[in-house]
Amino acid sequence: MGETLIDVEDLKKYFISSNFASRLTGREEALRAVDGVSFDIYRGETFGLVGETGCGKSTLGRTIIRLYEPTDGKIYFKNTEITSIKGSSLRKLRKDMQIVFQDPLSSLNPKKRIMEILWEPLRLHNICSEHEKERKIFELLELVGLSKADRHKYPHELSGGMLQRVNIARALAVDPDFIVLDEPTSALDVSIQAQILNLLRKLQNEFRLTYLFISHDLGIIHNMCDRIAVMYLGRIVEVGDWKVFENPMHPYTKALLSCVPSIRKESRKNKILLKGAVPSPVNIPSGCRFHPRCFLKEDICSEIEPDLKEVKKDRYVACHLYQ
Amino acid sequence: MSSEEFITESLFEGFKSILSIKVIFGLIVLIILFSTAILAPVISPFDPNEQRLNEAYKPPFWVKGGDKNYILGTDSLGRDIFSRLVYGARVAAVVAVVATILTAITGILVGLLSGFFGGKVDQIFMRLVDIWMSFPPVLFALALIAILGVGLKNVILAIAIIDWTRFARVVRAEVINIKEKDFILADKAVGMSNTHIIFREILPNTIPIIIILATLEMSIAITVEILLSYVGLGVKAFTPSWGSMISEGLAYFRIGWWGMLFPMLATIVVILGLNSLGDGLREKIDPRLSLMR
Repeated sequence: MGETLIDVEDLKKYFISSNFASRLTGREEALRAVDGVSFDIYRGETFGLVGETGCGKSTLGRTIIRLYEPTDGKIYFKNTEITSIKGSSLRKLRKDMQIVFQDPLSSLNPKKRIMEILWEPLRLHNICSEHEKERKIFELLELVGLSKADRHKYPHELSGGMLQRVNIARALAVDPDFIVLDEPTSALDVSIQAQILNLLRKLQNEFRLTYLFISHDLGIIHNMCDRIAVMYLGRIVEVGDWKVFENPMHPYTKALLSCVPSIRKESRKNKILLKGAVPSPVNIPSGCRFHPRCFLKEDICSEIEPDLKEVKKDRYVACHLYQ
Repeated sequence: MSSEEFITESLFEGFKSILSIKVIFGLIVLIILFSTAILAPVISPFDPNEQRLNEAYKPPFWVKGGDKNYILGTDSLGRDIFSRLVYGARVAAVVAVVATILTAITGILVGLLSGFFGGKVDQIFMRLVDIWMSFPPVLFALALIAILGVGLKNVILAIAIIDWTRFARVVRAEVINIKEKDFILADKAVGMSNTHIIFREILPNTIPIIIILATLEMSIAITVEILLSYVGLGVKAFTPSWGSMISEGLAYFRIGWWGMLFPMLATIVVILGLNSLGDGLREKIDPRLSLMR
């Protein structure tokens, strides 16, 4: 394993909903989107983050690059703590960390031409001067496979795949080390998805990028990622390399993987169907937060919350079955 | 295609797409109003304040006893009604433009800050707007003029003080809507400052709604000025304004109907035109807004 690029320790992000009624009664509700998460991301790897809708994976990605203020915990980037930096040091950090969002259209300002959108990061970080602007923008467009003529277009004049290329170009403009890919392909057609994934892989090799790849699509995660983390209701339940797919250990991971659609007959039979729905992140169950739906539940599960522990080499699981 | 051609072509396409009968009618009225206001000294045959007492109460030229020199007749002091009407357009146009600019600037600023920062800032501004809007606007205007005194400048100031809330509310709602889009997060991730995001990224996206509001605001401003001048609290005496003309015309209504009719017609056409422009633009640009009236 290479050097650690990002180290997240016990990170929490709560959203407090406060209104007049809750202030009167003194009971403000906290939505615990990310609730104590720790992991490392190594330089040059693609770290996958899977989980259901609403499990907090996007919030986690955005909190790591400081788009959201962390509630508690620590984030280290290149061994420097960045949890609460502000002002010019935060602005400098923006140059090292970028993000690509899920919806390619809504992540581009509809009133600006592609050239203006790409020029902003270059201008803000003094990457190139006004007279090098055209050349640098051509370079970026070529890098992501767009034509020079596209620079005069507005976002609504481009297709979803092309827009996602613009988003990638904007993220690349500042020459970052780390990019959060927040479901970059889930809004695209399958055929376009493959093109974008290939582009991302090509760019990773070319610039030695480190990705945090957030997705709910297990196929894509399997294909793209060196290591994956499985998230459930604000916590990571399992971390490991591709062996997680071969031999899932946490009951939630088992259930998740058993539901991947397959053409082979035998795998269809063994589907693990979970009972009930995901509990609300405002009202998280006691003990292991998965226990109300777990098919391997024991008595201890409803009382004590299991920690994420290394059970094999480079394999971390948060479950009482392995402790 | 060069970039200049590209820009002009898309501008033209954009302009064509907002045209409708309502918009065209409104634009024509607006153009007539402003060209009359600018060219007033050229168009009007007489000085609007020149009195010829022996020529008083002349009817329009097509009525028996009318004079070809006084197209729309003369008033009780023998002043040419057509010339006064033309100069009255000046007052209306100035009020429409200046008062709208003032209300727009204040309202947009409040709306942007309130919508973008939310929380305490939003609470304070919006409660202020609520308090403001709870005053009946006409009484509010009369009270303000009582404090500020009469005159064109004070009329404009009073309109700006009363009406900024309209812009503040609508712009705030729009900003909240835009703020939730991913591109604002992307801008933050790129390292833009809040000021830059508010004025360079969000503001351009609110322009369509601001244009619609400004058009409607112009008609409100003109109405308020006419109303204040009608009760004698608008422009100073002898400044020809449609409002004061209507009230003067009312005084000699039994002798000559024309003194009151023509300024009223002018008012109706201008207000109708501006409202139709605002409505037409709204239908074309933002169908959602029609629910907000």
